[in-house]
Amino acid sequence: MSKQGARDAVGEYQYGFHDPENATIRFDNGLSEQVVRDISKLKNEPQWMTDIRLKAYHHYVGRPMPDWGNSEMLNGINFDSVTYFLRSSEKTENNWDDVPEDIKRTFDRLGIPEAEKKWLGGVTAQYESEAVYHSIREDLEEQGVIFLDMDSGLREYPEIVKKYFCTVVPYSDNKFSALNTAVWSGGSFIYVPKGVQVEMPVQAYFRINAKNMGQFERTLIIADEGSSINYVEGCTAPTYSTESLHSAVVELIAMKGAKIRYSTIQNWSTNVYNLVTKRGVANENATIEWIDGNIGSKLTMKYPAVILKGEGAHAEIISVAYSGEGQHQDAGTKIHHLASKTTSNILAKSISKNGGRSSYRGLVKVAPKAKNCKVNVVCDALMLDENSRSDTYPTMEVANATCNVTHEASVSKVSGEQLFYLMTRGHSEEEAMAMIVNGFFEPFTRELPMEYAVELNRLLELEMEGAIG
Amino acid sequence: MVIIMSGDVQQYSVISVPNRSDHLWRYTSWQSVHPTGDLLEVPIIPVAEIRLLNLDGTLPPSEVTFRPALPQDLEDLSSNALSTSEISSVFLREVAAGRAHLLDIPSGWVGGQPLMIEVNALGATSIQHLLINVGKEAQFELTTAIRGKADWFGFLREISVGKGAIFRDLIYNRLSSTSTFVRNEGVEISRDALFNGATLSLGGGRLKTDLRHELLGSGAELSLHVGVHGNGQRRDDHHFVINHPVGQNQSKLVMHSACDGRSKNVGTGRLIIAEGAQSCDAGQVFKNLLLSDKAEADSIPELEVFADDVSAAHGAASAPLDPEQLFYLESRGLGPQMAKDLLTEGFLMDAFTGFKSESLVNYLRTRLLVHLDCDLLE
Repeated sequence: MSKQGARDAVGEYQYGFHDPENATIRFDNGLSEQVVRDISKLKNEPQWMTDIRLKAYHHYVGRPMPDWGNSEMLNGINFDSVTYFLRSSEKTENNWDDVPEDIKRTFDRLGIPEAEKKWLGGVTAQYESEAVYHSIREDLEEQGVIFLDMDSGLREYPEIVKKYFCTVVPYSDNKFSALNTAVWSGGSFIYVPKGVQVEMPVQAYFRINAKNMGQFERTLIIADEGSSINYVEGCTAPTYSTESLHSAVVELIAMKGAKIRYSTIQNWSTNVYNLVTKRGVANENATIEWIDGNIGSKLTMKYPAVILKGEGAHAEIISVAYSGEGQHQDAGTKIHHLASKTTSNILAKSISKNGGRSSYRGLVKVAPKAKNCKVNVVCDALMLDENSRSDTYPTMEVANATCNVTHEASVSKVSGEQLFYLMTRGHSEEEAMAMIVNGFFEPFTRELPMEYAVELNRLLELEMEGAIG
Repeated sequence: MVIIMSGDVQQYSVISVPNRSDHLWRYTSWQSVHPTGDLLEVPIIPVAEIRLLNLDGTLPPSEVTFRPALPQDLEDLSSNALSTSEISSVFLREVAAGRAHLLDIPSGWVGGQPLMIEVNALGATSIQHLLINVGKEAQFELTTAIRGKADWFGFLREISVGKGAIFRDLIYNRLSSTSTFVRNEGVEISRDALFNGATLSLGGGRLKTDLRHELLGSGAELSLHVGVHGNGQRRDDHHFVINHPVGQNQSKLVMHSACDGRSKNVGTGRLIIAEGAQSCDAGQVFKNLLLSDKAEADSIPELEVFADDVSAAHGAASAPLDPEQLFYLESRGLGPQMAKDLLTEGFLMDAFTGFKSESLVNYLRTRLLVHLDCDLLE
């Protein structure tokens, strides 16, 4: 696609528009114990959830900011200026026509209803703090698949939520998991019964519209024995001069023989701090796959993790990051091999351009009792100009002598020979560069649903504009 | 007593004790390698015995200077590669209190057989501070053999490799298995110079090694080769920083660790290519051979790249002995232990493939065989 074609297709950060704020409830900026209590009260939550929120809040207050990573950016976040709860719609609709007109217009522009009709098994659309629209295909519902926004999940299935909530990512895991647990709102709750294969992907779409907004969705996915689910999430926000905060927690539980694929295209505007904790537990012969794309945000700190708890469990992580001007994509993966015959495969790719910084931060840990494990980690980084930066910080801790662990990483620029070859075939230098970059990300895009892959390629083509000279 | 080498060096007393988030101290705490455990203390520690010979035991050539360092030597050869605020370097400087030795290789001197420095760490605690100045265009080879039964031995080396010089340097450590060994090193490599370093780490019970290298001129080359044999309760933690502040130079780091018994072996490498340091070629490889269920191997090869026209790569691998190789050797009549030792020897010697000194490679091969075959370490 030509440069103009890409621009016509996506514009310059095409999701940077915003609507007037028509909040039905908006809390004052800043966080206090009262804010936490009010959120819980507003949602009419059971006492145990209020108690967890309060414990998490106190942990958050007492825990210092991380002293690793991009401390300069992290310490630049003004937590007092963030709105911790904003309700845009009185309830979650399951009929698109009932969604408030301005919000409906937003999601229409994002293409959500169209996608739902064509290729999705279910959709949750979250606007600010809560879901405004939710639907699931009838045949899935008949098979017992539960797909709800997290608030509804807690209301309708409190016993399941109580059993699994905070078990994979405890609130004390890190400062931002504590923050999320204290003020979480929205997100997805999915339960797939034994043996049920959800063939069509289900999607959640997260949109921040208001200025200085904090979005803290909480997602819990449980795939029971022998089941499978493919979950896709996307996210955008308007471009404001002030900053917004997105701090989600995602917990995945794959029971014996189950499979969960979780795909993300993170395309926040570059005024959003994206500080996310994502982790899954894979039991015996289960598989968890994180397909993780990071294109937007000012600072992303995200390390999707898998705990391989059962024998024969497998983790697959494909992660790509694009860092442009003023961006730092600090992404990576963590794999804990706790059981024997577990395997993991990690592929991380990043591109830095216009002074952007990409970091891969990874951990592979093999426990003493985990025999005959296999791990393969590959990190590739492309630097497109001399002002950018690329880092890799992989850690491998192997405590069992029967395991095979390999890691390789490289940082390089676009090959002059490849550029030359494509230009001899009639492409401009810019087109050739865009093709090479798309090819570089191809292992990621081929794992995405077709519509996402096409969109990602277009976005990358647009981002590559001006990459030459 | 506090010796301040320059206005920029911090005093030990004002440096806070690092925690695990510090890259250098992630796996081995400063508390665990401090000689007394009293972290506020800078104890008085005697200097280890040191002498210079030729590798064959004869007296060294007269062109080479080896003497106690003067205050001016300490000032002139204070290595910028060493951090002025890093706790262990500052501590070793203060403990050495100016009692350093200088090895001065004159410009243009081309050595014959390798030199050997013998360091004998005696008593309960022992320290050695060594300055090495390699003059322009000089070429020579050196091995430093560290022996002794000291409970704690601190070794600080500051090395300057002059323009166009070639310096091949082997450190062979066979301290007592109960010794704690803290080794810090700063190496500055000038334009068109080559520093070809090797370490064979067999001795000591708890080791913390921090090696920092700066490639200061274009055409500079660094080639580092490290072999570690972990056995018993040994804890060996090697940390490397390789800095490319200017372009058109190259570095290579190869570390092989054979991990047996209940040993823990750590290799942390930080490779930094500065902004504007174009056309650098840098690589790191960490390989771990897992010989025991109780052993642990940790590898952290890190890259920080600020320039785009470079080649930077790292790799790491951990794996057990190949059963097919064991079977092959045993089918040729070798016992299981001998087959294992032979494969371990091959694995460790492979780390020194790029160490281009035939006599020093033969020397370290002999030491390794003695170690594996006779288990001479106490």
